[in-house]
Amino acid sequence: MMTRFDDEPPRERIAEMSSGQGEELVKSGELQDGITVFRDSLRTAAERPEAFWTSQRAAITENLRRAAPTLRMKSALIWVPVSVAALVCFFLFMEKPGVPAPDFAVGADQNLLIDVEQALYRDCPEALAPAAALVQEIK
Amino acid sequence: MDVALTHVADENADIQRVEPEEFDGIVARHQRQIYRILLSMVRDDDVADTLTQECFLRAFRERNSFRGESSLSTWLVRIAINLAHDHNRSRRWAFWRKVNHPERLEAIGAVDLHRSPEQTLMNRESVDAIRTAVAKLPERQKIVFLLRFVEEMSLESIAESTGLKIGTVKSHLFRSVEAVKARCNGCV
Repeated sequence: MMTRFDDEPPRERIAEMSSGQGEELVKSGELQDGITVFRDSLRTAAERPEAFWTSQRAAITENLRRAAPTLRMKSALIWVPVSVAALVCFFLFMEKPGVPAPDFAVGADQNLLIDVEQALYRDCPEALAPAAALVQEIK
Repeated sequence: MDVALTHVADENADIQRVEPEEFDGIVARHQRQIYRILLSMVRDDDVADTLTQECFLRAFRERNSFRGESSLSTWLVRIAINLAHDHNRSRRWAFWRKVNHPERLEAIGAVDLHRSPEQTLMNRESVDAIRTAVAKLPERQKIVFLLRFVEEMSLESIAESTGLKIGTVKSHLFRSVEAVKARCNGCV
């Protein structure tokens, strides 16, 4: 904001002149009185009754009070996207804990193996089990 | 004004933590100078008043950027100059500037009870001549001239307020005085 009043170098190189040269020009001539009167006139022209300054201060304070919540909200709003970005980064880069996979397959395999084992060691097929039991009783 | 407020209003006070209510002390201390500078630059009472208010609002809004490298006064003057600069560049306001007569800025100071009517008249003529000459100066020369001779600011403060190098300030001052002197030749 403050750099708009740009700093172009003057065409002629007169920057080396002594600091008071402009003022010496004033002091040396009759311009001194004129400038003094000019200064006094501008200062007097800018004089205002105390009520004016009080009213101006009141207006400034009122505007500041109105602007303050907005300013606070603005500064708070700046933190919202920052916080969201930080949270996203946190969840993205956070190490995920190892979630155990469901044990359905293991259970099914186990049952199948038990069935196979039973079938291998069984004397007769499962469908003939009641008949086998009768034969055993008769014996 | 309480002690805390006085402390806050110090030239190099840290205004970064100032609340709106406390800012009133700073305004009270600097409003006259800021208004005077703006009035001499924009030559309109109402605009100077509005810009003075805007100057302090902006200062409050951007108080975190004030690092205390310059005085608070210099910093405020800088804000005021930029506001006046923007204002003077605005086309909308340029129209109103043409409509408004420069006579709005009356040379009230020429009225001096200790001087004779003749002297007062001569003073008024001198002031008018210088005012016309100053009004014709390029923007930067005018600002430097006003800050030096009306506000009696140091060359360093003018450089800080305008963002110009000190050598450039000197050259603008030199040229402005020469130009005013040339235009007022024989009238002061």
